[in-house]
Amino acid sequence: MTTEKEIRANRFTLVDENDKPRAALGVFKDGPGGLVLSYEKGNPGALLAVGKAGSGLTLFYENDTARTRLAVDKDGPGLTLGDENGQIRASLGVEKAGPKLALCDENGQIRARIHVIREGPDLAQFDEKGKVRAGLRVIKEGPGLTLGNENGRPRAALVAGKDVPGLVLLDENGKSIWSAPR
Amino acid sequence: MTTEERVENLERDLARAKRRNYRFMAVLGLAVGLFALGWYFTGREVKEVRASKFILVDENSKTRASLGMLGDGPALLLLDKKGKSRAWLTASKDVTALRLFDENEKFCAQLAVDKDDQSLGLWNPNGKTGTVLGVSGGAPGLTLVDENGKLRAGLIVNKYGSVLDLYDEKGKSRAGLSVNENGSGLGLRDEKEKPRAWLTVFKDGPGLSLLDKNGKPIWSAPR
Repeated sequence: MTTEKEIRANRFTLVDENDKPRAALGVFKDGPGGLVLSYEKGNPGALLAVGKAGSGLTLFYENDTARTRLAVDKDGPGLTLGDENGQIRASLGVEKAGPKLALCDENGQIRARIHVIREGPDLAQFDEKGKVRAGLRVIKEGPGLTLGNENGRPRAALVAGKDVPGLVLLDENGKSIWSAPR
Repeated sequence: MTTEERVENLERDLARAKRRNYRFMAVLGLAVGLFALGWYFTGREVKEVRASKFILVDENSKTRASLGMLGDGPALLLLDKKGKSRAWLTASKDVTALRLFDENEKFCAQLAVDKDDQSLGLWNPNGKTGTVLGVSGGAPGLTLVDENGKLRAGLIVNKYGSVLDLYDEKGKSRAGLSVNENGSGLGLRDEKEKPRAWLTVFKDGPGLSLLDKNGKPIWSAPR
């Protein structure tokens, strides 16, 4: 076995025992440079690439639909997990506003989100129409939990403010119907 | 100097010149040969190199990376100076994954896709404490596991809605914040997972209920 100091090429292609290409390290035509690992049928399994838009690792399974992507682009680093239809179902990223985790339903609607923004950390749960139905947050005034109705209006709030903690139940119009302490 | 002597001198000069020329040609030939050899090994630039395995070695000829077939799929393997596996990128029939290992080759991170699931998993070196962000069976979720391998927190979205659950050291759900088709609510449960306090917003309005250990309301508001 010989060892060479350097081999320069446009593309390095790994072939299996049947001489089928299964991986390639190269500069792809009209595209980014990178490494692609392929399944036996030739469809991509993993792509590690650096291009104009950014760099990233994309994982596929069986079909050509990207299922998982870890990338860094101009907006920041991020991870997305998709379902078999290519719909993003979970994402974790660091955006300009702050870090964010979002979980989505099969229609792509965010149903749960945790993010940290200037005002503080915030957990929100949404219904299928995107209305906030539950929120737990810590802001300058103190921590609080709110539950909302189908219109996204708060109907119950449990807060620990600077002066006194309290629980308030509200009607449809936001008017207090019960509170403690009174 | 006689004519014979002059001819002899000329012949000697000619012989010396020939020897110098031979040496020059030999040196030139050697230089060209070395250049060609160097170009072949270091400057060679070809369109494509095909092989059944590529190995990258460091200055001590230790393998630091390899690209080859592993089982039924291709794999890129990166190794540290001690020869320990630190990163794998594989695409096999069962799973496509990036796996990262610590300096003791303990598995500590994985980004993976298989037939039903896709996930990012992070674990500490004991292999138990960790967190997984994934989509399993069509339901995305984030889970946190303690040092005994027990699930302690989970945020899940499923076909019914979403739920944030917190678990005790025995794995019992003790607090949950949920949103489903009936409404939204915060529930606190005892060590037997029986609800003891509910703050809810249903279609008929908000409510707070405190319950005994049998699940019977002992106090409620607003009525």
